[in-house]
Amino acid sequence: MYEIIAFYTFSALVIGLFGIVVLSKNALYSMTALAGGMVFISGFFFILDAEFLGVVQIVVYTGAIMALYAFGMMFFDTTRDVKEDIRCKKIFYTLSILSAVLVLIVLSAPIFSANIEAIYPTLEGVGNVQTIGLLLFTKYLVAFELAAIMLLVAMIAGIVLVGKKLDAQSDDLEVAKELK
Amino acid sequence: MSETAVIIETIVKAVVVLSVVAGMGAFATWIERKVLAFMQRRLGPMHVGPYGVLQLAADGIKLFTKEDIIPQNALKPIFVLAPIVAATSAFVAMAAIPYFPEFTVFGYTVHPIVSDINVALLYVMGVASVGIYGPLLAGMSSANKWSLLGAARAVVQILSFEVVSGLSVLAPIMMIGSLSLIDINDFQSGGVTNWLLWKQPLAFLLFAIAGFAETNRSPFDTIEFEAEIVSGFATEYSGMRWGLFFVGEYANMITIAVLVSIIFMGGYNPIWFIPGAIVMLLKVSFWIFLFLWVRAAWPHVRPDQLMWVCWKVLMPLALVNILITGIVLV
Amino acid sequence: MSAQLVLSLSVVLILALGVPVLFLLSSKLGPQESTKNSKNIPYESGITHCVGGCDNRFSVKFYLVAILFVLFDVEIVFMFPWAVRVRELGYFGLFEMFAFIALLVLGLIYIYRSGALKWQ
Repeated sequence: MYEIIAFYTFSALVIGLFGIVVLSKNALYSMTALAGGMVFISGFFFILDAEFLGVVQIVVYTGAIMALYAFGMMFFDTTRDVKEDIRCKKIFYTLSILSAVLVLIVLSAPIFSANIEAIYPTLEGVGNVQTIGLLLFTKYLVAFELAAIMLLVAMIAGIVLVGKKLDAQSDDLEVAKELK
Repeated sequence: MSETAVIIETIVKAVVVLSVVAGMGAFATWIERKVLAFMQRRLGPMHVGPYGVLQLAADGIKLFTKEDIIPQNALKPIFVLAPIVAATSAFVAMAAIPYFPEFTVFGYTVHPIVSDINVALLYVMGVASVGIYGPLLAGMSSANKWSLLGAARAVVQILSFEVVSGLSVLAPIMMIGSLSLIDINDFQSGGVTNWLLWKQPLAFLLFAIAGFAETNRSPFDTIEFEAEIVSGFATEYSGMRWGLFFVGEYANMITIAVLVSIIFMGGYNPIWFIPGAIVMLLKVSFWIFLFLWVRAAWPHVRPDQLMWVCWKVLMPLALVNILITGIVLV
Repeated sequence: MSAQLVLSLSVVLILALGVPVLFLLSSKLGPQESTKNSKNIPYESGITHCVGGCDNRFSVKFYLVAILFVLFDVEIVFMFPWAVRVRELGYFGLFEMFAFIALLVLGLIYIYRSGALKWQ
């Protein structure tokens, strides 16, 4: 009973907040709403008894990824509205409605075709961190190590994209200091 | 247990925790002034009430009734939201902390924890980390360059030290095998010699340093460093809005003090003849005092030194600590 | 169990949101002075025309630290499930985790060498 109420409340909150993300003209409103929505999504994980994933949702998405967006936004003035330049409104609306319908069909297909069953039912008395730990190092080991390589690639890509001239920059500054 | 009973119990517990923490936070401001004053051979607040205790009430009345000022170019909704986020995240994080051992009142067993999550440690650290949205949104919405600079510094500092605190806490977790703060506490039952402090001294040190940095206490208070960036992200804030940032900071301080006490210093296990609840209070008070002592004793650290220490000294040390613990355990 | 947890967390969230909002409303008790005078201009120590707006350019290094944080945060999240099962996973798990950490330390060394963490 309470789970159903909680589910619908969280759903309404998340959809409302993500609606603000899409519809708002101000980047700061969008970012705040997105961060809030990410927090409330973790509520679904708590309802499903997956506390670890719920907390990870908060830690990774709200804590880390949104902070990254925020730094991206610090490079321009966020108190002003963004003016979107849409040339042809008809094509824009048709495409967005089409893609929304497509996503709906793809996501609702499993609900209509077959009953969804958990492959790994939750064990009584064992926290889901422990279960994830065992699975990660037995069945999904390759995926786990691939994740490490992906993280490495992402790290190096970030440095290469952002900081080609990091050394040159610092050299320039040192030269400037010496000239003073 | 029926759901209505759960709701009533939770409300009572949450109200108790909220009011105790808010009261302790308010009292801590007076203690902070007094301790700093004594360390500088001054008397501190003396005029309002005996030894200036009623200074608290005077400050409260001033904060609560002060006029709202919103700067002209600020984004009003976000500007108002920022302090609420700071205070709320600090309070919500406290929901998963067990403060005292369980006790019985009129035949009804009370667990002094608002919501018992089995990943409590990660929950507390994760929700407390949402608190960075306070300074971040404050800085980005107030349309003032000092606020923006302060926000950037705040976020960089808190994010960097979250890595250190996350890594340093892993080593004790490996020994205990659970993320529940109650399990962590029970692991150290049986006297001072069982404290994790003696088995994980490096992790303890790293976690304490990261705790100081995450709560913006000196020597790491580069965020509101008046001499450089006016008042950082809080430059445009006044009255209770500013007060809420303050409440959040003190609540976080108490959270860190409780976490350190539970993870490394034996938690609420009774020592000798002293009952657990009093032991816990003593430890938390000691940590709050340590926060003030450090503030009186040490100068500020430069932001670039802070980054250097975090990424090139503390983080590698935390990794090495995990590797050594892993080798010893397996 | 989960119902109790969600219930108690929701109650805490509502209370923790409500109390600060009440605190903020308390300012209505005090004087409601005008904002007509120059009280609400951006703070600049009394200078009326601000030097430098809030669209200042930031060093890209702030952004780099944020990227680093995201990556290490994900790493830490992966390490928690391992940490609670170190004993059961044994040498195999230890070796796998060492490989995982080694890959990230490799990236960290690259970052040190590229000078991205040099702050002036």
